[in-house]
Amino acid sequence: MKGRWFLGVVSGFLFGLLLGVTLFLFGAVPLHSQWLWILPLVGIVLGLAMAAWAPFGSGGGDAAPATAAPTPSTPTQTDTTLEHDVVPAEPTDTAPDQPDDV
Amino acid sequence: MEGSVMTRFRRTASLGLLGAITMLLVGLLAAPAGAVVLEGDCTGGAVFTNGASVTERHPLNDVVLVPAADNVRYTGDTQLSPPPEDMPDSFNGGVSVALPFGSVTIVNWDGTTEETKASGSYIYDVSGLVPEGTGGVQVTATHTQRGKTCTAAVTMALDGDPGWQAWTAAGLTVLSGVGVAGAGVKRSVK
Repeated sequence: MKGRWFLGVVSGFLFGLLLGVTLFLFGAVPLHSQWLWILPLVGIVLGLAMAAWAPFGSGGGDAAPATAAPTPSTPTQTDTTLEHDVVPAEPTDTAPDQPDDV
Repeated sequence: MEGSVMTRFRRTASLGLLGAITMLLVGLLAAPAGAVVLEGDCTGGAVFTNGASVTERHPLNDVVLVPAADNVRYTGDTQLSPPPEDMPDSFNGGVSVALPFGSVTIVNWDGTTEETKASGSYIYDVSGLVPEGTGGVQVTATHTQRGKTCTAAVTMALDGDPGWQAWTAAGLTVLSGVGVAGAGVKRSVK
């Protein structure tokens, strides 16, 4: 799950619920329509699907540094680039260390 | 808390919408003013000043658009013979609104009466908070008198255009849609 699944569930449920209420208030569906409980469930599924898909945000830039790494122009710059861009998992190792040092 | 507000809102709306029919049942102890009779052989009808009218043969899939304020004329008959003068009938009943799951009872009544049919007019004025132009609200009324039960249903809504309630709901829907889109933002690596 690349995105925010909890936000997806909550906002998806509210989205479906409010969509049903809106449809009722605009006269599109009657109050006893089954859509009024189906839509919140569809909203939850939609929210989870969005969280799984996660089409927004950074994440497409990983390929460029990886291809750029074998042909560095300056050794010092190459090291810096590799540290921060090529391996996304490495900052995870360094980040928890900082509070320990403090 | 939101649920209790919505429940109160539904009850208020339904009470307003059902003014004529409820009065017919509660105050005059007769059949519903107009609806599909699901049980019993009661008859009745109601005529609104906007031209809308309903009877016990009105189809449920046809939404009756009633004015927010009106002087409705009604008739109702339980098809019972009048009781002896010193032996009034006992009666009870109620009105419920259909929801996606089951229904919610909004009015109950009981007592004794010597009436078996009634007609007249009833003035009502629904609160401005009740949304107009909504989808149909299916209302079912049941009245039992002298052991005979009549159940009738009608689908109705307030005549008019969708108001601020509908636009508020639409705005909140868009906001929650933004939240759904926000769920699709990749989590940053810590």
